[in-house]
Amino acid sequence: MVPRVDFFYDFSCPYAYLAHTEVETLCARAGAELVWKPFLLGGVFKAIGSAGPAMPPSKARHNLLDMYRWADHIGVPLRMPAGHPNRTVLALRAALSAGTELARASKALYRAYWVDALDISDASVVRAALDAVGLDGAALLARAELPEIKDELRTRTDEAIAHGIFGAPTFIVRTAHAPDGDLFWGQDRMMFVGKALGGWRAPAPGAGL
Amino acid sequence: VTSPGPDGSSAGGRSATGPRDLLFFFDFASPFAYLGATQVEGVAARHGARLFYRPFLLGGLFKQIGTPDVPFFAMPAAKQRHTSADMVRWADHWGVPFRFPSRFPMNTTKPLRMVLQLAEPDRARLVHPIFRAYWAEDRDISSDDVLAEIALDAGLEGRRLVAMARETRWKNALRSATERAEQMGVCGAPCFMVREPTRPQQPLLFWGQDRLLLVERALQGWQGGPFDGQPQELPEDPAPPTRPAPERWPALAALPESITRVPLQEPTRFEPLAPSRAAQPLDEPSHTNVRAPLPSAPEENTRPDHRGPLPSLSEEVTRDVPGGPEGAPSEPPASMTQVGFVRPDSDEPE
Repeated sequence: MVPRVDFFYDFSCPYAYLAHTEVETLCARAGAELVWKPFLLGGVFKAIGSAGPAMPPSKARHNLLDMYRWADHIGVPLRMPAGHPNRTVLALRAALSAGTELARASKALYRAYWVDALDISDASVVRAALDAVGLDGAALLARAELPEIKDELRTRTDEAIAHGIFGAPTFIVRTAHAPDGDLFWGQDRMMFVGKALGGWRAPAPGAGL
Repeated sequence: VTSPGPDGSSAGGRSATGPRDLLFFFDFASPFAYLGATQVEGVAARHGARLFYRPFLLGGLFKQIGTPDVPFFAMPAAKQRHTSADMVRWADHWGVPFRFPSRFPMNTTKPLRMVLQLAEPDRARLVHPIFRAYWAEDRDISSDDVLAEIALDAGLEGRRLVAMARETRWKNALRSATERAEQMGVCGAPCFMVREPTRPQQPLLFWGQDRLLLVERALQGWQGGPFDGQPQELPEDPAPPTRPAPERWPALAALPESITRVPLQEPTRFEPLAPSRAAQPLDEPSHTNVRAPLPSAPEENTRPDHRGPLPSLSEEVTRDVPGGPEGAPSEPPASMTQVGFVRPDSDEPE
């Protein structure tokens, strides 16, 4: 079977932004199929109660420095918009409206959020971002209001929960060794995704090494 | 002699002005600290860094910074599953033995105090066997007999180290070490701090064994992201990140309640130091050379065993005060305090 990576993401997560800059190369190198899987992170948090308490200051500080360190390490720009986290429901629906152009729309919206530091809860920002990559922003925004698109985002979020997803980015890697898929959470686990695509599979938890 | 780079770094992994320091903050209680410990000597050696072992009580730190005592219990089931798989993956990735212990959580105060008794050059001999005993061999590292045997096998005076671990001064030493770790921004285990000789007041702190590749870059002169060393430029009002902080506790779902809820033998009650303590130049008992007679009093604070000068952590804290040689403002701007910039001077007398 052709190895496959399902890449679960929401625009509001800086680590998912970082991951999206590398995931295509990673999959191409391994000859794997890449499937873009947008979902509403807030919906997952709400469903499984994982938003958690506020981080202690030292942890919050580390977390903030950490995302900029990773951006510097992999050599991509990162700018946090003032209002972060901004609502991404509209942007996610607009991306889904793009259908076969989902990847192109997603990259444009990531750029708006994390490179241009814009508020993508604003329809005019979404439209301009999509227009800039040759998509019809106005048409996609109109489509984003359709009930079937709203339903699709709900369905995809439910699907993420059913897969055991609790955060973003998440990678579900299916290979001949793991036909049901192994789940990896975090852009900092992408080297494990790469290894898994090459056939690596660690023992199950509980087994001695 | 290689010519230094613009940041004082050189290709050889050593700063132009001497070796870099790598501080390893750990508690034996954490599986991820164990995983990090299996790598830390190699990392330091590859880059010619001086390695310092910094034991601290993770439970005490959690209490201080307001993290759930065992954060794992607060995780949703899906995250627990991933965390369980994750530690096994790391062990397999690095090719190190790993076996989730049958006794968890573990009271680690005694072995941590034993490490504190040792001079820096001797610590590695004890740290690694204790980590292995708990996280690979399923041994009870709260047992005096087990600890004495491990220490003896390491060529140390096991019985004496174990006996001294019960003394008040070493209990205080662990409290002090934990307090200092917190002051230095440690927020979990393991943490790694890279200190440049050219900018010792701006160390880089990394949390997690999964940040070791960034630690290695820092040991080659990388200075982190655009905001490292420039906390005043951190964005205003950073909201809580949308991704929950990775938790560093293992999966217990498979373990019976009787095991996961075993009460600790001793309370790990953690009292903050009185403000005056942090300001003392040295507040740690002297290291015990295991082959030499015991020091007569912990207040002596002679450090005959260190190779080369080792500034006390209290000195480091003092040097970290804004307004140092870099000309930082004497009062951190609001944005720094909003994101919880650690102000190690907060306990300093006026």
